[in-house]
Amino acid sequence: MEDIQLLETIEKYLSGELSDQERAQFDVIRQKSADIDQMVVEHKLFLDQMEAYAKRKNVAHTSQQVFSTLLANGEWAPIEAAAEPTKIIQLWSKYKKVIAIAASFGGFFAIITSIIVMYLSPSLNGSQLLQLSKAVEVIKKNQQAQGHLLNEVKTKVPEMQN
Amino acid sequence: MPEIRINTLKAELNEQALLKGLAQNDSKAVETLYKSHFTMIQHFVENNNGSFDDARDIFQEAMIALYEKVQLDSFVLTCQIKTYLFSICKHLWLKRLQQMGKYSSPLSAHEESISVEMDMGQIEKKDAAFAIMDRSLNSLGEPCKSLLEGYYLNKKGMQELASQFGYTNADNAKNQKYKCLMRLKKLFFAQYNIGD
Repeated sequence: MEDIQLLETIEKYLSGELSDQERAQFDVIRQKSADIDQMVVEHKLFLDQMEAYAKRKNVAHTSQQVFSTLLANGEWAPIEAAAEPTKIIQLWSKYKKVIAIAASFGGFFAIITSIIVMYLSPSLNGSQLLQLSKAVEVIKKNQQAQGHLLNEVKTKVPEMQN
Repeated sequence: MPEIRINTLKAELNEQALLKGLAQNDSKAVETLYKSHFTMIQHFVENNNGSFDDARDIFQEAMIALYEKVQLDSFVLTCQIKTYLFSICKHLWLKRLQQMGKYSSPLSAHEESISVEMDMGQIEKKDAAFAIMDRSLNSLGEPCKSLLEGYYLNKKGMQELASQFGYTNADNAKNQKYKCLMRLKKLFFAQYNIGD
């Protein structure tokens, strides 16, 4: 009970509610008792913090209310509807990973496909190649023979004209 | 020339009046600050990876920071409110982006800004004290929390609180308030260090 009364006196002392005489008496008590002096200092610090807390909370509350009222009155609008490009950018940043994975799968499949095509396409074996080169040889000989014939004809033509 | 000087003087007086209004929690002053400067912050945040809601949160934080700045003993505003608010918002938004790991390139901004590092250091101390008080009050539980808030924050009388909470008399309410206060102080001072 005594402590309650002491605290009450300290609070009145700090808030200036004590009479001049009471105040002077309490100052004497403070000077004599280091414990009580400490209690006063500590309680002042605490009450200052409470006060700062309360005032800040009130300002935050006012600020929120003012914002909500102005927003409801159409003072500002979130620029969402007007900004199509931002939507695309948002989509891009949202699905960036998915797109990257899809792209790398695409590349992977392209490589696999070309490998498969290479394996499955018909290849020539040794004997087929030999046949082919023989055929080419025959064609070459024919062409040479024709070349000789043409040359003969050429040399004879001017004589006939003269 | 004299007319220009008078106009600047008028503008300065207006700014001082606005800050005084903010310090006194005057909703007219708060409204003027929102109407004059919110759009600028909205554009800044939305142009730098943020949403409308982000702009709202950042502006709210900046208003509190401006309020705390006005409360400081050493308070002098060396620039326009507009520049100061913008500088705080820029600082806060940069910090937020870094926390989210989204910050990569310098922010795009068309407004001039000043360095607020020193001020933010002081303001962050106030933020910390506020958070400690908030935590302490919330961990008290009811009816202690409401009883103390009623007495210390809303400045209600003991008699009024006694009937509000249903105590049979004011003395019992006072007794209970004392016990609650002791608990709150213990919680608060366990976390609060002077000079931190």
